[in-house]
Amino acid sequence: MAQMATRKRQPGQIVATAGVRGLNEEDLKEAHYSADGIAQLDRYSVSASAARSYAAQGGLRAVSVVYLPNPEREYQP
Amino acid sequence: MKTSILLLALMAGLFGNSAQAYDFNDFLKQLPSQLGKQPESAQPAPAPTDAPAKQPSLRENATNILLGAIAKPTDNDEIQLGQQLAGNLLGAAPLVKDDNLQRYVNKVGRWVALQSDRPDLPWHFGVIDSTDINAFAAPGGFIFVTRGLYQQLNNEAELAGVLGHEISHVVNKDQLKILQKSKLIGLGAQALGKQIKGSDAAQQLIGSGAEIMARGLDKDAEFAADRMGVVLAARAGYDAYGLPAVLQEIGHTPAGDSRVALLFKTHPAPDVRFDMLGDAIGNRFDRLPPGKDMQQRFYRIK
Repeated sequence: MAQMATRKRQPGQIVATAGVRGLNEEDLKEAHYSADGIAQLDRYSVSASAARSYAAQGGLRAVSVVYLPNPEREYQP
Repeated sequence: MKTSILLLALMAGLFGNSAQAYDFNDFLKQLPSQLGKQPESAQPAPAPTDAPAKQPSLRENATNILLGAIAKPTDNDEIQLGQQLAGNLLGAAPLVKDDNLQRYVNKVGRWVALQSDRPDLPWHFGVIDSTDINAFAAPGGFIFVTRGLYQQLNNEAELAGVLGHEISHVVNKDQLKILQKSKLIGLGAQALGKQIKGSDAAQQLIGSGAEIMARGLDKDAEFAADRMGVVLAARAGYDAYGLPAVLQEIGHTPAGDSRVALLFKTHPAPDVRFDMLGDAIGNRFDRLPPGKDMQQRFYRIK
């Protein structure tokens, strides 16, 4: 927990891009299926072996970590 | 049959002017005529033996998939349903036109997903062109991060944490549970059986467009996804504190900023999520080997 509080980080760099807009509930409600979008998405998908290879290139190694328990702290909205 | 109609009418009344009622207004209007054609059994009608074998279209599949998903979803059910929802989302916000970015996010995302309990799903990751700060998951392994959120990130560990959170929603089948909990969908599907096919029926059963992605999940599901997300990132060898750092950063965004309107509507406040995550982590990560932040190879959008 102490680590979470003391982490130093740079402020986010937000760049407003002309022609790009937000995504609100109405946009999602009125969205129509994009077959081209799915085809593009599929093309970018990578295999498990490619992902493992990329991780290894960066020196990443899988570590055994158990799941965290629910602290059961009551959520106060 | 009358019982089904009465139940449907009752459910419509209960939902009042909620989003669900809006979604299913047209669907409900069609019910009387469709129910008139409904056979006693909810089993699919056998195909005529002289009819040529026909591969069902994706959207025909989506109808059947939803019906199956209500009872006992298979991985394929989830994938087909998720593809429909993902396609709708991409209709609202296309992928950022940057091949290197999209490939990079897929390599990182797949590596994190390999640490989950569902490593073999055909995972897909994408950065969508929206200034909003948000991320989405659809059943079957479809994960999206907005350009606005991506540009908030400082390193690969933070990306891994964000993707880990969304991967957790898929692993926990949170979106699917929302569909299953919808009594209207369940009753409608049972009443209609598999008689209605085609894109309209599929879309009506799913809801409007990708609107289901704008519905908030159960708050506990979000906290659970945060807890699992940091573990998946840590298992992948990343600095486990990437996701908390992102929550901290987003927490500094003014509530009135339109870029976080949908995120803040559908999720607990970032500072609450940060605190809950802190409570869960405690000192449990203190003995982990140091994780990497991979800042140097983090892909920045040009």
